[in-house]
Amino acid sequence: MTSLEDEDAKTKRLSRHRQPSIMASKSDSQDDLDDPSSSSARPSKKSSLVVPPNLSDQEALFYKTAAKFTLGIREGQLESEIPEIPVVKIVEIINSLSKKGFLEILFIGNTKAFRIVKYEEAGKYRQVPDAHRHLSLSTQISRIASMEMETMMVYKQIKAAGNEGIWTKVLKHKTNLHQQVITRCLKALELKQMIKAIKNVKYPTRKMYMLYELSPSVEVTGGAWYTDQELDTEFIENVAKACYKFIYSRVRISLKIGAFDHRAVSSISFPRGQPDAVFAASYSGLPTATQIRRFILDSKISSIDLSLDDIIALLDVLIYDGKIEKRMPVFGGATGADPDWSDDEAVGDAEWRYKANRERKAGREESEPWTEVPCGRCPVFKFCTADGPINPSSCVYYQKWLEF
Amino acid sequence: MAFTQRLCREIIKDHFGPIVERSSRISPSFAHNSFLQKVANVLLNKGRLPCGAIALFAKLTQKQVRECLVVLIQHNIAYYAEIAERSRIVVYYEVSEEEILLRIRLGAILRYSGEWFGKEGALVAQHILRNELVLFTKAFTNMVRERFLVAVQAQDSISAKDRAINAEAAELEKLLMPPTAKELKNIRKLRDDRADAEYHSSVVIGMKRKLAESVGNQAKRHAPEVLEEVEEEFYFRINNDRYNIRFRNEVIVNYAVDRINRSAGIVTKTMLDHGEEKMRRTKEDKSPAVTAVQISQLIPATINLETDIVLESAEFTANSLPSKQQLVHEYLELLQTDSAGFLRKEDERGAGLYVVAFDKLRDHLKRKVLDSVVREKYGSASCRLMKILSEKGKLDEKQVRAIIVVMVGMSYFTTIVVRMALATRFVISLICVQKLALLPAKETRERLATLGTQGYLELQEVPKAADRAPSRTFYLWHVPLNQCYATLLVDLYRTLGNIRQRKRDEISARSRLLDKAQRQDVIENQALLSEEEQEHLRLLNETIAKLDVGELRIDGLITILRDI
Repeated sequence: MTSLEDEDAKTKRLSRHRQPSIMASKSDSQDDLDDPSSSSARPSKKSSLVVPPNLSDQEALFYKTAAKFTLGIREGQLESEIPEIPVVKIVEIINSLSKKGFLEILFIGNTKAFRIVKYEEAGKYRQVPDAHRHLSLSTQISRIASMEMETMMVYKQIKAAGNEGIWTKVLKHKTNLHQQVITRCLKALELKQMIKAIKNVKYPTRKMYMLYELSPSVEVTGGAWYTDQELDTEFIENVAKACYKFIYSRVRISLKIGAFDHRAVSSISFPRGQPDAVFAASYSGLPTATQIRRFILDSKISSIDLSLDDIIALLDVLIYDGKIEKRMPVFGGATGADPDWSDDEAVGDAEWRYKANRERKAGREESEPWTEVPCGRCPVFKFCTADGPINPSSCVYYQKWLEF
Repeated sequence: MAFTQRLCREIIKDHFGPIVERSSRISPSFAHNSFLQKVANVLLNKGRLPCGAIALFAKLTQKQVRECLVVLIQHNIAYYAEIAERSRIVVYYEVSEEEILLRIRLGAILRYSGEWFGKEGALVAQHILRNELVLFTKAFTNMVRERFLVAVQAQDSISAKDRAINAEAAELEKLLMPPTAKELKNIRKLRDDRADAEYHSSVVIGMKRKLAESVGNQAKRHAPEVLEEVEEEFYFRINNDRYNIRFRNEVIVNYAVDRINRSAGIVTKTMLDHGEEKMRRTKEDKSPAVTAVQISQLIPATINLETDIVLESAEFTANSLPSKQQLVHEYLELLQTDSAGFLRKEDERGAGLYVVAFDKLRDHLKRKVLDSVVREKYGSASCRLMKILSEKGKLDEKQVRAIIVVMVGMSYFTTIVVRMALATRFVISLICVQKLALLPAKETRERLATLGTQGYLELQEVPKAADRAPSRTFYLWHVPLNQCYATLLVDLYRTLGNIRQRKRDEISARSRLLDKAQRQDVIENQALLSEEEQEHLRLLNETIAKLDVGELRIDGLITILRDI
């Protein structure tokens, strides 16, 4: 649709020069064939067609004729369909209607087409801000209509961006307006409270704009894990720890965060009682993602609602840390973490079960042999040679280590 | 290789160098130790050389060079090859770096010989390493039978590659015409198969059978027993492969104990012990197969397996305890479903035939080493990033598709290039990584860059336009696993070299003290040393202990990375 919008803008700019005298035509609306007040009652081809008020009869005629075509009336068809109105006048009508927002100009192939905007939807199409809803529909429309061309273009672009918002650079590119013009329009729109500026979490330095009443999409704010445009690592840590504890052995956390209640009867990943025991391969008490989610929600660790996808993302992080594993409870005992097991065959994410890996107990420490020796942590390891300025014989780190 | 040269030189200095005579027991009683070092250095630097060239580079006489070579060949470090060059036969000598590196494990070998074959075993191993006379004790026979000691034949001193070349040349002579490619391939295949068969044969070279004297009544009931005795004309040496197999099995059993529990370790150990006879090399893909029944019979009755596992109680009532066979079966199932891939079911006959899957375990253990190194050095977040990069690339087709969609605007050629690049490697972009890892963008960028400079990650550039402007290219990260292992191995060798150098320096710094302490009268009467000297000695011993322990543990890592 962007090309269409571009053409829309171009057409508008062209039409600006033609200076339609719209007000003039309004006054001679004496043909009452299409009396606006009775048009809603009159049966027409489209029974629900409402012709907007304040249109001259010629405009109204055009409006009704164009309404017959769902894809808009094409340029070539103008003469055949509406022979009463000369082409020059039609041009003026088109301009005024589109300015008021009742007509859209589209491009189909090479030709232009003109599609009407239904009266009821004119308001919706505009997404009139809540603050203005108390104003009558006509006032709203006139407000919009009273915007300048450039502002209209800018506004249209921002609206088209919808939930995601639009960057100033992109806006400039699309409208082809000068930077200062855009800045002016943006200021005006902001004053009118029709758009607002938002901060994008991915690109904090960009200036993004979106319609006032829309809420930014998940992409922009980052979703559940972001608080104030920032990744809330502490929060993630807490929830992750709680998940791990739950998977390891079912623990009921009291409402006071940090105070642990009595442990529940059944444990999950490892049997209680024996310190070294394991469950058999066919054990089916491992929790699924939904169960974990329910636990997290019940225990109210997080103030915001975490969706199933969020929990699954968190569990994936725990898997990457090596703390838990995924398993598929398939008969025959195939492992779930097998990379050959393509996602197409997975029954569904809720079916995956999670098992905790055994914690390192004291005495069975998992220390890495290489980092025990000073060389493993040496910042100048790559620089050290047998007889250079840095060498093992005179290494300070070794000295400290050997004296320890 | 260049990166092992330094370490090899250090090892030879230690094992055959001048200072070693005093403090180590593994050195030949050889007068001119430093000559041997020179010869070894020359061969390490220059590769294969004939005797004359060695003498030239080492600045020694040919006689001295020959003496050194004899020692080296005796210790299985050097090989020779007779190449016919026009009219005469030239003998080339070369040094095998693998053998030298395996010498690091001699300490472990001695210790475990003692453990597995009793005190005698340790003595036997020691003597053999020193190339002294060995008495044919029982322990010796056992060791030969189980292939820990292996008979040395004349051809063993020729390197394996040369032997292969000679065999091939012999075959080729039989043909009248020059061989076609297919014939050549066949010949080579036959030759390799023959070598394999010899290596895998169940006949132990060096043993001969002898009839035992029948004793009285027994002769009537049983057939005369056949004893196996060691032939006296053969020379023997330590079979490193066999020890490596044992070490590897231990690593696997320990891992099973760590991951599951003690009883699972017992089951694994029994499986591996049972198949040990048939294992020849560590590089095999799977162990000999075994059934649950066999294992349950082999586990000694004293070991109690029940307490460690909770079974579904449907099959058993409260009164009857599960039988050992059922327990073993359960453990085998557990081991099989574990994601480390310990076991694999080969056959469904009866209760199922299980094999230990070495290939999968190998990858898993290597990954574990890599992960723990990255975690210790760069933090657990970096480890997380690495894991994501190495796993997600393959599954994350959505991201790949997204990138390709964006490329629609690019030229046709570029899209082809990009498609190929993306298909052949598991690549992933920064934003995806950051989303999956739930880390702030700045942090992921920093960590990825650090890992990249250290050699654990690689960057794939995918340009959007014909000019390679950095702002208009995609940068995709991926993990080149084999290169990671290689980088790690090089670093470990380097560290070992450093440790050895430091050890040598510490010892040489106190050489005077050591001289004094080794004097005969001082050994008898410790009081001759002053307090201070005793303190120094104690410190020195502690230092050497620390360095040794570090070295052995790093050698353990090298075993996993290289030998398993």
